[in-house]
Amino acid sequence: MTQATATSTPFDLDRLAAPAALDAGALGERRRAALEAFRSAGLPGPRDEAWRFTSLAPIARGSFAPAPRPDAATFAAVERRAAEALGAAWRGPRLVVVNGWAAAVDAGDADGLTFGGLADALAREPALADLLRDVAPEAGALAALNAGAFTDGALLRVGPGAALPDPVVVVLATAAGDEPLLALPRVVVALERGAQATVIELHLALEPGATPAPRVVHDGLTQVHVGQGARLDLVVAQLQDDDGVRVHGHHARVERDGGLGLTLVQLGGRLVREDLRLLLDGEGAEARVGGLYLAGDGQHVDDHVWMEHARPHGTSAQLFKGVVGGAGRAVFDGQVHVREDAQKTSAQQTNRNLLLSPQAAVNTNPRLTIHADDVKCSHGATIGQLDEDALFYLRARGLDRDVARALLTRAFAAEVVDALPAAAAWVGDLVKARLTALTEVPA
Amino acid sequence: MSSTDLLDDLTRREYPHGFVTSIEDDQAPPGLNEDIVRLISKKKNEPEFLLEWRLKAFRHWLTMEEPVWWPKVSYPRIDYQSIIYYSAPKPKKQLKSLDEVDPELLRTFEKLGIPLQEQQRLSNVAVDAVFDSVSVATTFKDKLKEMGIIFGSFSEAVREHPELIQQYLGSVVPYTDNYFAALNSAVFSDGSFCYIPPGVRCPMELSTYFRINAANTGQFERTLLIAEPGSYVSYLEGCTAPMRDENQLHAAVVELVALGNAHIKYSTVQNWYPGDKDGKGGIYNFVTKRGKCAGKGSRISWTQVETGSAITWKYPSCILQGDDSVGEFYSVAVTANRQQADTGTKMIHIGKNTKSTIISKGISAGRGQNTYRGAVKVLKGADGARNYSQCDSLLMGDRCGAHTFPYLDVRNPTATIEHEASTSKIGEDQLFYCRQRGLSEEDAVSMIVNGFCKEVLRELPMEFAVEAQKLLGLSLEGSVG
Repeated sequence: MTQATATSTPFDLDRLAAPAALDAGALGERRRAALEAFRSAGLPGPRDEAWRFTSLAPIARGSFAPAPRPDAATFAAVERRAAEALGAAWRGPRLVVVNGWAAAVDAGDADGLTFGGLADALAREPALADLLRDVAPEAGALAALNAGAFTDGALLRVGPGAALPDPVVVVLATAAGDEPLLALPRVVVALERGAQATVIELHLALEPGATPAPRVVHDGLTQVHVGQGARLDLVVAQLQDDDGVRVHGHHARVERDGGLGLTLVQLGGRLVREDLRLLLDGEGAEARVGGLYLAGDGQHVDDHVWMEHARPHGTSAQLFKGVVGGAGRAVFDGQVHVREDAQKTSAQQTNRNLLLSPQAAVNTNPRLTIHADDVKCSHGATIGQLDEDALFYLRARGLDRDVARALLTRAFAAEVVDALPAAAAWVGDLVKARLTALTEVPA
Repeated sequence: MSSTDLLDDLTRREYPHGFVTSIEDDQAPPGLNEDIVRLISKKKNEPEFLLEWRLKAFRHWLTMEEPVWWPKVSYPRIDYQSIIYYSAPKPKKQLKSLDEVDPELLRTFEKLGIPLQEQQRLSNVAVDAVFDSVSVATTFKDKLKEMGIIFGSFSEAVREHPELIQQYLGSVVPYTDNYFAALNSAVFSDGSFCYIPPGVRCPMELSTYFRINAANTGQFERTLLIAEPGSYVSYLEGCTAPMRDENQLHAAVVELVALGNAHIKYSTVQNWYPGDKDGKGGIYNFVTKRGKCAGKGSRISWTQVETGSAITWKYPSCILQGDDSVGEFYSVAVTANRQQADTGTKMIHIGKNTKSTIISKGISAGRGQNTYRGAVKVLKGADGARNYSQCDSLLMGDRCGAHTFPYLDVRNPTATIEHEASTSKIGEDQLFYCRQRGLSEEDAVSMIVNGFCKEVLRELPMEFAVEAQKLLGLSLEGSVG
């Protein structure tokens, strides 16, 4: 893997090192091809339509080395932090991945569940490599980098007809090291025919306070496969104060009559970018996506959604809500794509944004591309502020301005938060605390 | 009739304006270089400043690359050296009255139903007719002159009011704006010019009629419309071209300037030759249209009905600079056969309490691809900006496409922006309801389509609304079965 570099990147790719199991056989071939694709494409820039409003300049100026496996103390610190965030929900099968490396697993003993570190699982059972589907070139250069160089991560498979009693928790953490690091975790979630599961993916960072330049670049990818008639609830929560750069993709494929419920909650960070690519690849497949993104001073949150209807009778609903305060910036780009033979599709997308301060900015691009005629597709987007009348009503009843603002903002977010599965109720508390901080206006 | 028969019927239909007028014309040799730019300028006896401006635009154009990024529009590359950049009906002498206009030309406009004869006063529309690249006749000129309104060809305005041209030309669409605007700035040959003095309400609809006739020519006209404070004008624009197997380029620029409390209403019914059912021939309609609401309380409304052209690429936009200014965009775009339309608007909110409304209706039939692409931008100082956008698409047939790409960019927390879009086909239940009450399928579809477009059509001046409804019926007849 030391061919000549076609485009210079801020990543020290010559120092890449992954467990042997990942570089063997067909998987190894695919990794080398993907890495080559990244080398020739280089980092996306402002001329790439998908990166028009999000600049990777903070990365481009730096130099990042592939992250080595962290020590036991770091794993323990992440575990403490995750336990603190989840409270009572920190039980059942769970796995901690730090800087792209998996810790020892606590898999529980549910029937039909295969769960563990990705590299371990592949070493034990090479056939599992089939679950790591190819990453489409349209997913972009950073997805190609992950496809070509992921180090480790988590693998979760639920066998046919199995229903997991407890939610499975995967923690994807970053921890700063002596030099700036590049973390490349991969998560694979596969539900076979008729299986049911709830999965929580928690993103957090162990970093010293604010640094002038990002210390860690996280370039992660989660592949989700929902088999025929299977049902997956996936909650992705990203904790605040992430001082690194976090780019993560969720690529999901839903088969016939399968259902995917995905809730994405981002509490803010220096630069957070999510690429959600969902393919409804069977008749009657369904996807419900909820998203809540918060951005405050110096934070930039960018969500890209690509919802593709490939077969007839598919249903998709998206609701994304954003609250931007301080000098924060949020970007939403949502595309619903209906292929020629995906008749009887019903697709709906809503994006609502709340601007709390004069320096806040929002870019939203909801899009529809429809190639079938017998469909019902709609989208809507709004950008605005809190309703003056509602504020007045609350203040007339004796609430002060900050409390009234916090209350209304919380109500705005509730539509997404309330739809979280019971196992992720703790996310609601984090959102509440973060919103209160965002709405506080200096006197 | 089954739906396939109906579709066949539609696609076999001849484009009614597809005839060619045999008229002698004065043409420049094909190709583009500085000499051609100088030649055009010389033919038109232009002042030095205009030639300088054209040359600057041409040199800038040379440094630009033709945009190829449009994800939803595809066409073979244009060979800019094979186009004739100047074509004018001969003889080109000063005309005193319409009687001196070549009768062949008059007949052409008559065939198209354009009232050039002054006796057709009843129609109460002042018309400036542009044939290939040159304005051939303007009606009602004297009557307008009494009120201080200047309306006529662009080249006339260059001769008679060079100070206005110098002040406003390129003030809304600079020659650096985009590839086709730069090309137009270098080689535009004529167009319409209109000036409404302060406080004057223009008593009649002003109208320009564009006709491409000669083969291998491009039409590059330029329209400049200035409304002084407190004035009002309603302006119409229509266009047709003969049926030819080659594609022809139409790259126009329209600039509107509305000063304090002025109101400009600009309506277009675009019916350039769309090409045949296999997509052969047709006009490439690459047009830059932009209005500036420069003064407080000014207002610009764009209304367009786009049924023609092989490819339409057009985003009539409003720069809402004055406080309390208002921008409006009402559009119906129809693509049938293999037509492609990529159209929409840009609303740029700069002033305080500026408002904009966007209503876009796209109809796709056959293998047509219809894209709404629009932007709403609210800059930092635009307190209290308000936008409402609605983009609906109607699909007829399973091979067509409808796409919506709105860009919302908001940098002011007091702004309120709403965007809604929907895509669906004509409801079976609606069709059933109409048929059950004794309407034929054709009539039912036509009624539903007209209802779908009603919000836009009602914005058109009466004369145009009738034409537009007929056009819609013609383009879509038989598309749904």
